[in-house]
Amino acid sequence: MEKVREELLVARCKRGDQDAFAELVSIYEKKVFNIAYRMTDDPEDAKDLAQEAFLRVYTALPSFRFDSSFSTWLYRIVCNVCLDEIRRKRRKKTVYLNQPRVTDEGETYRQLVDSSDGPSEIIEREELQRAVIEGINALSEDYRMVVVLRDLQGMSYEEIAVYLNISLGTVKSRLNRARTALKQRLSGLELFKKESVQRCEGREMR
Amino acid sequence: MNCSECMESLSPYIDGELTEAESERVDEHLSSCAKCRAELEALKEVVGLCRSMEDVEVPSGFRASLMAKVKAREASPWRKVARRFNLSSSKVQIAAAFLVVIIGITYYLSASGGLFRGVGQTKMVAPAAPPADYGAGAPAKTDGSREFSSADTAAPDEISQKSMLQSIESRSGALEMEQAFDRKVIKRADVEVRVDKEEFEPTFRKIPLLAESLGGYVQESALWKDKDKRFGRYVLRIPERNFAVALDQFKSLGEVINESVAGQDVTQEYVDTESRLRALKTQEQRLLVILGEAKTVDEILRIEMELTRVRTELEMYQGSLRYLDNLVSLSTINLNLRDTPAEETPKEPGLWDKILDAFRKSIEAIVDSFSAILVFLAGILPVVITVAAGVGILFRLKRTFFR
Repeated sequence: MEKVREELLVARCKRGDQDAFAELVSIYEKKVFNIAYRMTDDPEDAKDLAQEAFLRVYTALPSFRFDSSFSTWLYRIVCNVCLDEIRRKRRKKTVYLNQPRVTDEGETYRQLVDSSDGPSEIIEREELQRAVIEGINALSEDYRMVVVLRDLQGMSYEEIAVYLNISLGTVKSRLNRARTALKQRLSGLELFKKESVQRCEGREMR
Repeated sequence: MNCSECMESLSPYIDGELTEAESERVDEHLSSCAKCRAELEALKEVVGLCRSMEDVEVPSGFRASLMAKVKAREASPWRKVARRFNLSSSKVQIAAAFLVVIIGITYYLSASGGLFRGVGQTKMVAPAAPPADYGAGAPAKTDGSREFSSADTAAPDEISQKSMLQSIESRSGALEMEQAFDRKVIKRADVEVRVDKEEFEPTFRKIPLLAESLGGYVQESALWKDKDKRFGRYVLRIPERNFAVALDQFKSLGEVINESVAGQDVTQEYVDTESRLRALKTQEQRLLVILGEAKTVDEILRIEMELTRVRTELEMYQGSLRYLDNLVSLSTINLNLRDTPAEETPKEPGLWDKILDAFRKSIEAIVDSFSAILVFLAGILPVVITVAAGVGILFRLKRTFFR
């Protein structure tokens, strides 16, 4: 049913129905935005990228011939847009974690959260999440992408292979390496304690 | 299975992406390897942490601003064409770029082709060109026609040739007797006549017939138009004896605007040439006699050489005599026709006129330079478009292949 409804919407879009497109956007915007957000770690950039991806979809819709499902096509475009943008940005500047970050209060060093005097559990949890995000950001964009798609968006290996136009084997090995790298980064943290992890694990593992 | 193999498989193992057999082998290894077990636990923790991350909410206004962008893009002309032909707009842009390139090339080729056509046109136009600047051109042309008529003697009309031969024959006869009385005068007339608009065409066509009926011929004719004014021009050669009659005839065609008759007395020149001719003929006769008496080859050759020189000179004088005869026996009438009154010559402009004139000229100069710039821009437009299209295509291709 969902599929049929979506195809109808796409068909209406192809005829230039902007309301139909708005409806399509409403279905996918959350996922698209979150992929972009996790890839860029900046709400503004994420918004721009997500909009750019949707615009590309809209522009290319007339030539979309249902060779794949609409969502597959959409995610492929989203992944492309994100990777393109990150590569383009990286060409301009490279951010290293040990590079000072200029803030209003002056220079601070990017730090993976130091929780030695961690006050409350909530803050601890937030800090842990922040640490994961920093860890993900430290990965190269290809590794980051598979982690975001698999572990944050819960997509299957097959889907990821299609979205990124890589083989299943590549997905496997990339994901493995990405997770290993992430683990190494996080295991250096004091916060990375059994109990907090276990709590998360127990709640989230499916 | 060794540890490194196991480590490779841990990630898909967590996700259940291994085949049953693979999975069993990993289980087997894990049961015997504490290190890999620890690794698995750590990885599971990481995955768990990642999965615990919740999706953030889409910022408010996301869809609204996106739809605004969609509307803006929809307004672009590419989109409209793309929509109509069910294409992506990038394809339309590429197609448009190719179209422009093709048009550019076609234009370029036809422009170079046009260049040759242009040359051809100027060639065709060239004979009509002198009348275009009528005022200055007319007197200059008169000189030209005189030069021309010398060449004309080589292949003149039959009538004139006959009369010419006659005059030469008659001259060689009782030359001395006539000499005192026969003044050699080249007559030339310039007549400008205005005829009514309706009669202009028939009048213009009538003139050659008139000239022929008087035993003359048309040496040159032109007809041109300047805005709504029409002009005709003839250079007519009329036998000297009919000169006065012809002049009257032409003057009666319409209102005479101006008329001038000139005579150039070439008697002196004619007589000089004739006496030289006679002397040369005598010399020729004498050489022929000597040639008959010549004994040695060397003598014969020298005499013949001298004979050749004399005969060349003789022919030269005969030629100029014929030329003079032609000019004398056939008078030239330059007839100009127009269907509107001649413009009044402007009187000396006053100060105000000069100011206005200067002002007008400046404006004209500005307009001219602007139009020159426009022409230049229009001229380089195909080049600019072609280059831009090329760059555009490259850009498009780059985007298509390097996503």
